[in-house]
Amino acid sequence: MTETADAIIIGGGLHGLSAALQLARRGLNVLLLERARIGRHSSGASAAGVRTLGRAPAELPISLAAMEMWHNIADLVGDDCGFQATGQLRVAETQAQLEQLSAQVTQHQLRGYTNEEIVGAAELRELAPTIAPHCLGGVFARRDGAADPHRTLAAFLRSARSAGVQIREGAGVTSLAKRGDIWLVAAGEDRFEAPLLVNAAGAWAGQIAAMAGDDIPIGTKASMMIVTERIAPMLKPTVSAVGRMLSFKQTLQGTILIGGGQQGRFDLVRESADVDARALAKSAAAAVALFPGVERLRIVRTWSGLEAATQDHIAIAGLSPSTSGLMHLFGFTGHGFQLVPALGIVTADMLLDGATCFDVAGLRPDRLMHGAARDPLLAKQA
Amino acid sequence: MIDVAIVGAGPAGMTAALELQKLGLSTTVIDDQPAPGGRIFANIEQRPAHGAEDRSGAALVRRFRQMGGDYRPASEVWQIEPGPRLFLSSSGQAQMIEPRFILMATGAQERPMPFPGWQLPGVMTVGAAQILLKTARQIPDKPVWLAGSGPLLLLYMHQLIAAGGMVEGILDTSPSGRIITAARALPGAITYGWRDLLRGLAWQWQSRSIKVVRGITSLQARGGDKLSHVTYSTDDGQIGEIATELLFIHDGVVPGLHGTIAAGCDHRWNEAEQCFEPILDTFGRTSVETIFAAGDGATIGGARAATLSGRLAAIGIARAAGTMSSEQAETAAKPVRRGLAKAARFRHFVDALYPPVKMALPDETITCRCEEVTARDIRAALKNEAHLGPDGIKIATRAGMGPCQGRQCGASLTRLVREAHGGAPDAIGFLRIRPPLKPLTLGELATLDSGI
Ligand SMILES: Cc1cc2nc3c(=O)[nH]c(=O)nc-3n(C[C@H](O)[C@H](O)[C@H](O)COP(=O)(O)OP(=O)(O)OC[C@H]3O[C@@H](n4cnc5c(N)ncnc54)[C@H](O)[C@@H]3O)c2cc1C
Ligand SMILES: Cc1cc2nc3c(=O)[nH]c(=O)nc-3n(C[C@H](O)[C@H](O)[C@H](O)COP(=O)(O)OP(=O)(O)OC[C@H]3O[C@@H](n4cnc5c(N)ncnc54)[C@H](O)[C@@H]3O)c2cc1C
Repeated sequence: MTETADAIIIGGGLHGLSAALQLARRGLNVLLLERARIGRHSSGASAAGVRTLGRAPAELPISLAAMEMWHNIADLVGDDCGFQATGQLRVAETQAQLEQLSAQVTQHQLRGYTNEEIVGAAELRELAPTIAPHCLGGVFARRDGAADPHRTLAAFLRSARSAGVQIREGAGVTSLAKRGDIWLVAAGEDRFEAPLLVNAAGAWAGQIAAMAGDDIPIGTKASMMIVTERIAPMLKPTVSAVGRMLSFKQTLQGTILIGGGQQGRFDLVRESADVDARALAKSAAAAVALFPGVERLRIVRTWSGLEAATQDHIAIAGLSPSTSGLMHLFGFTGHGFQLVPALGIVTADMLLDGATCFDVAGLRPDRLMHGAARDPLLAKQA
Repeated sequence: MIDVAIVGAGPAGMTAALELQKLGLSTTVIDDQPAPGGRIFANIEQRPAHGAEDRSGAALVRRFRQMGGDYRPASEVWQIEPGPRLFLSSSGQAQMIEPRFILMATGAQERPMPFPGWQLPGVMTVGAAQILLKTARQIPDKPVWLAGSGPLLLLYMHQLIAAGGMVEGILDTSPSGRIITAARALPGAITYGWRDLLRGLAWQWQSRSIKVVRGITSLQARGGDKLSHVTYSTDDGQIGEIATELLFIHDGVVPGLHGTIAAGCDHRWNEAEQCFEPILDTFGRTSVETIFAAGDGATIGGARAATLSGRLAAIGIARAAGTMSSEQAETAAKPVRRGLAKAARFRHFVDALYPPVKMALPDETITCRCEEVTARDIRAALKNEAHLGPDGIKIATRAGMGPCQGRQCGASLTRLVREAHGGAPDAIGFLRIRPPLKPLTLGELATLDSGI
């Protein structure tokens, strides 16, 4: 038997859910197919940092738009998703780094952006009282913050369902074909049909693109996280540092969450990502260097999550250049969580109206596609 | 390069090390305890040996000490990666070892026995009480009630009374009448000879002073900030209450799976013993070529079986390493396998006497103690979520996210999924285990960083 819908979403991570939600709210009959279970990969493993700080120019406009949505996220999904605007702070440990940061922020502000500001040593200590004495200052994005990934998943899932989205877990898409304007989607024995298709398949989105005839080369990221036992409140903002792979924050539960992009081992066929202890040790060393007080904290758990990475480290969100009714939505390269609320709207706009008022020109898939002339601006950023 | 890293210096690990050395392979034995002996022979060098079993244990520890191989006490293995690579830490320093083979001889853990109030101070597992008795000679100064089933419950009772402690009564959770079924297997058990156990049993039968309530189907520990009362019901409809400040609970032992799960070995459900076990070939090799398993960490068989399976795994490793031909290995393995079959007969006795019981798991039970998640929370999460397995529950409820890594709630999660959606435990599976396997601080992990 074949099920039909107005739109089919492949992938039940946050981006798939957000796209499904927006399409359903615009009156479509939406079916979401998820191979494992909702949030099984990147979205469930995420550090859930909500960051505009240091975004590449191509992503900045949509990131700023998403930021406004995060500040009112309950209006969108009926729950605050654990979002707290505690700020994101990037720390300089040497004078040279501080000067480099200052120059960057000055440039940024000259272009008209107000989301980043320089902080000196005194304000740094107010923001992060336990930071190592050698840290000199940094750049602070006050309206940035962090959310709770599992609450966010639950809220988007609930909203999508009540907007009428049909969710099929355990439905892995195995082939795609087109009959006229209709997409024929097979998931094992099951068959589905819809005129509109969203490829939000995370680390496997390159395979889905290939099934649809689009060759979009992507890499894989398996970023790792460490979570410690709970301690008394000591830090509000999320802290990163120039020249270190580190992201460090305290959650609402009191645990310390450490990430920053050190890579684990992965196996796309087995759909698994595992920790690499030696790489993880570098995250721990960076954390201890910046916050010496955490040295004795016990690690409760570590993990790694899978997602797609692009050559230029910029997300892909745009219509297929080769075939109608297909939106590509992947390649978030470790920083897609923050973009979730905005890109759902972008997806609905593009599939239904063919265009969107958001500035997502820099996220077009064809910039990376085989034979496509590389946008010189994007090439420079890579 | 070291040929074999052995995790665990209990009867299985020590025997394997001795055997491997004889077979010409180098070993490193890593154990988190301060001295060799494992669970059953903990602290044996410092305490008087009671009975034949203890004497043989003391002799094994002596031979192990004299063997002179690399032995690392007070060292915790916290991660195993393909390679194989093994990560350990001791005295605040983390380290990586890359042996050719790893033998997991990590022993059993007590089967968690969740019921409302099991988290109250005053409720303790028999295993924990036994460690206090064996290593610190700590004897409770108040009378104790015991609850549960399994030979170790009786063994502990025996040990406690011998040490001068007071046992007021037993709340026996094994179904009434089981003793008769078990009696048929008794001859096999006697030839195997777990004398302590039989003594404990005989003692229980003869004793008049210890109250026994049989056929317990549900338990509830009550009290404000510590235990004051225990209420129970039985399979013939009785409801009762006892006043006690100490309740020691035990529901048998199961393989401590965290090491083999973390190492990526495949496991399967053992229906008779209601637990998962690593899948092994006839030489103790797991589904991961370079990793072997022996002792109670592989399948529950008791100390003597642990010794034999340690020897068998050593032969298997020598065969895999090429220092023994397949024929030589088969010949050497034959008598060991015969011994293991004999030990299994004893196991049947224990199985018959103490089939793992399914006590009620009422909604108010705090199933995950680390994150304080009740059975009600888990049942609610499972409702209408046919694709939610143990890992999904973990995300939905935080059950299993705490420091014990699901050692206390993992089996309950599998059970509750089965209760909600049916399905075989093999299909449901166990929680995924995320490193570290053992407590590790950020500072310790950081010491592993070479700075490059
Ligand atoms: C450890 C870690 C930390 C991170 N920290 C941050 C952060 O602090 N801030 C930030 O902004 N971002 C962060 N990210 C990135 C962010 O989490 C991701 O970009 C985002 O969650 C991606 O969501 P997604 O829906 O695209 O992908 P996913 O959540 O991976 O979802 C893709 C889904 O597609 C399914 N799928 C795949 N193939 C098929 C198929 N054939 N058929 C059906 N379904 C299929 C998969 O099972 C999967 O569930 C982090 C990521 C990781 C791993
Ligand atoms: C609580 C409890 C009490 C028991 N009491 C008795 C008893 O009184 N009498 C009896 O006959 N049998 C008892 N048993 C059964 C007994 O454990 C076995 O029969 C026997 O000890 C099994 O031997 P083994 O070598 O397989 O494991 P064990 O003797 O348990 O040895 C395993 C060793 O590995 C260590 N280890 C585990 N994981 C790691 C790691 N990641 N890193 C470093 N070291 C690690 C453990 O601490 C332990 O020292 C008990 C079991 C349990 C769980």
